[in-house]
Amino acid sequence: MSELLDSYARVAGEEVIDQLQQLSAPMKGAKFVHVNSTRVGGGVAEILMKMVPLMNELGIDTSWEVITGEDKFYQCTKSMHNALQGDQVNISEDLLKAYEETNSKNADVLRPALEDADYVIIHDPQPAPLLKLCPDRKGKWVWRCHIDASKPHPPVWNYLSQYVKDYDASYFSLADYAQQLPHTQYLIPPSIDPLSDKNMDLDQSEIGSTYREFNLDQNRPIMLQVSRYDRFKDPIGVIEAYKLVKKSIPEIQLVLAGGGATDDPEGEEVLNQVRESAGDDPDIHILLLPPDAHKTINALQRVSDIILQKSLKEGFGLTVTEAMWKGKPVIGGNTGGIRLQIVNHYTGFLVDTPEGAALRIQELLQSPDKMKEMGKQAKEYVRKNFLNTRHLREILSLFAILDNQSET
Amino acid sequence: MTSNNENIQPLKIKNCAMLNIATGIRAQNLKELKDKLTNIHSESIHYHFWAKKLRPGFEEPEYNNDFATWAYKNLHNNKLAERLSLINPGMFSNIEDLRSKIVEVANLSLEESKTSINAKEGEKFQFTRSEVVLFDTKFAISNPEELVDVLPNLPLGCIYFHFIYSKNDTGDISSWLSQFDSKHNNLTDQISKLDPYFFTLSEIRVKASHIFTDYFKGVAK
Repeated sequence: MSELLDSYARVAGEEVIDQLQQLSAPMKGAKFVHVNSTRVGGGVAEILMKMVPLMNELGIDTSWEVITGEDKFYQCTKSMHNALQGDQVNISEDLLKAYEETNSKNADVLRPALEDADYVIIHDPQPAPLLKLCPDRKGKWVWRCHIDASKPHPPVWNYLSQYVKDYDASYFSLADYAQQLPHTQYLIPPSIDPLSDKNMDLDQSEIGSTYREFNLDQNRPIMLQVSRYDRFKDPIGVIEAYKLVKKSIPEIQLVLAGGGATDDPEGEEVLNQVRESAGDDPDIHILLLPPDAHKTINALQRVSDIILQKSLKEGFGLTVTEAMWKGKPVIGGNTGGIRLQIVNHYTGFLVDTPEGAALRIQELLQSPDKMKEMGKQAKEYVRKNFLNTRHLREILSLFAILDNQSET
Repeated sequence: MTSNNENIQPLKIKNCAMLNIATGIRAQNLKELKDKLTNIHSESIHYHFWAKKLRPGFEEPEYNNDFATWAYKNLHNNKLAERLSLINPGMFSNIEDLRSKIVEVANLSLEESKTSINAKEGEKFQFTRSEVVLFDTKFAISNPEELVDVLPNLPLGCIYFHFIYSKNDTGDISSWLSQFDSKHNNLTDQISKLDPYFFTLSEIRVKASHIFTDYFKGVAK
């Protein structure tokens, strides 16, 4: 077994690696391409960053292509993202034209690799039209929707589905997100990489320096939310919860750690609203981290007592899994994929309001034993269900099923 | 009747993983659940009774199947949840009889209740089905006594395959044991009486391991 596979076996178990080797054996040497719209920032890029080397290690010739575009393209895809999450956004013809033209230009570059590939996964709406733009494709094409599309704005879904319907299959994080499509819709939750900078064990000196770097008091409780400055992540709600807790636990500190994804044009506006809401409270630390600050986020999660992900909409919420992997109880918004990760009252708490979050923060801070026990359960829950080895097993199983269907 | 043990094929130990598939069919209240149950694919009914044993989730289920859990958590109907949870799929000879039983319980609850409770958005019952992918563990058992050491260490996917997925088929442990001569009748009987519906996969592994250990200790005496 290679060193990389051996490292995964130590965390996930040898049986899991054995399954991956069995599933990948018929795919050895096959060309597998992932396509998304950003190399850095956001959950999809993080998944691919580690998934692609792991697939190559298993003998599958895997590459990761990123489509690029101009402002209008990202405005369109951000609106599309919001509309799939339920916003009643109508996208102008002008923006849709930019979307189509951008995909067409990218297809000109990617067409040889995509048409030659045996297996292709297109991630999210941004590159969805590529299938139609590769008429001589020979492989199996699957569309992956990472978004909570449970209540999409119908005109936008109808527009997008004209591109998605011709895929061989699609997969979603939860059954609630699946839509009417003429092909099979699989359910595969995303995952974290236990060996990545963001999730690996850190030594005490790295953890200790985090307090100094961000001017945090080691002797006072810290609550943390890590996420992009996006209104669906509800950073304002987190500040409200913090202010409620502060009344009874004045020593509490709040860290909001976010960065921008290159495909998110709304981040700055939300960040300004967050700064305004925080005012001049010295115990609210608003951090704007670069996209490669993985070890910093890892350390921040480890120095925090409680981690929040108070999203109002969330496709999955990998920050929840990351926090649970650090053995921390997580208080999450009662929405989307967060509900799959947080087993209410066992691995954390699900809340609907800032008041609910404040209640659970106080409850946990007053019960250190409960906090420890929940954290322990959370870590084991992730080990069994949300590591990238499980994720890859399901992706390979999906393509094995598609291959079998072609043979019969 | 005794069989020639030498001719019995070894039991190939297999592991399995489940890939879940959305059907796109949902129910928001009990009436919708009942109406959709009438036509839902039989694979989906099987899924909602058994798949939770392999799915992400805590291993201490309050109720034994997805219908009962939904009735409890999302319709807040404890009486219905208890009745649905008592439906043991192992007691039905085919999936259509099982389907009829669930519909019967749902009808009874609808007749009793004057009001219909809707599950919240995002908490509808999601009819799901699955495909199972099998893995070869390269282990094969020729003699039942080998299971004394092997069973306690089997991954839960193997337990699912040999005690649930392949019930009454190739791979079912009690069917395999029944091929041996009558000296193992008692063991076969104990294993076939181990009802997987009421236990988690870990519990099934522990209970089956105890049966094998106790049996072969007794035989040794």
